[in-house]
Amino acid sequence: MVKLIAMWEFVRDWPWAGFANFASIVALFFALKALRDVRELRAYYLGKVRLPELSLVLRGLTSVLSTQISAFAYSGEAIGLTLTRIEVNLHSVEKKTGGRPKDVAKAIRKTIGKYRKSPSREACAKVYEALVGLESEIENFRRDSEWEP
Amino acid sequence: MANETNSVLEAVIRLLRLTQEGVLKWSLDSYSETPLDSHEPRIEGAFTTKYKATYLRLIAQREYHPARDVTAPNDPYRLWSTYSSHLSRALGVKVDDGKPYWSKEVYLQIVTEYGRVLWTFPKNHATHDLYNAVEYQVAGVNSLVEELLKE
Repeated sequence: MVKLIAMWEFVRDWPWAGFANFASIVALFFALKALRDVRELRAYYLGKVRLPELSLVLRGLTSVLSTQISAFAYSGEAIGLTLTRIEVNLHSVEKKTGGRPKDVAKAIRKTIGKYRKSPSREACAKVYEALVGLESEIENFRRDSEWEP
Repeated sequence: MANETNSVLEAVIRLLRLTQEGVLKWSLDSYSETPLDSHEPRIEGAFTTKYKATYLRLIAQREYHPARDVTAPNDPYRLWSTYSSHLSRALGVKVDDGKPYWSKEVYLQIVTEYGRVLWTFPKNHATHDLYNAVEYQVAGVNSLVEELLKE
């Protein structure tokens, strides 16, 4: 044990030990910097890529729904499928946003539920109108979001 | 301003609904062709209709966006922007890399009887859907499907 302590004291007092301490402080500095960068990167993708990607997907589905309303007589089942995809993305909107967009997304899911109970062109058009409204809400949310750099 | 934007959006949605229901009838409009080697805006299609006493025109055009430097000096994320293509591959997400591209823009205009533009509606997503609905109507897809199904 005494030998071990003596060895440790020998290593500790050796000139390069000071350099090792200095190197570990520098390494710690870079590690903290990298951690900050990772957090910034996460914020960047959450705020600038993931939500915009989600709104792009919703835009595509809204556009598809609009075309299906034009061909309402022939696209009953297809509308059901589109609405299911929209519902999944509305869940994501609710997770990624808060306030107004979240409330609108919830309301749209209720409107979709009403369409499912009694499908009609009118009910489908209401879903479409609400989705276009949600697009504006998401844009506003992105503009005001704290994630924006 | 927000209310005005919402009202315009609602008006476009109303036009879309009238088009989908077949109440508002659109017809093809003539337009001048742009040379294919030019980067000038290129009109893809134009349609006109008359709603009450107002003439409306809907045009779709391709617009060229030149290459941009996405690593602007005031961009706080320029380090990440520089490596955006590598990051996008690694994370499986699409990142704006500043390459040139063509975009499709749709404009809804109030025009005179002779086609002179009086006012252009602000850009919104519903205008694109209106254009798709108009194309669908003018192409006569519904009647074609009905005829094919009868045979």
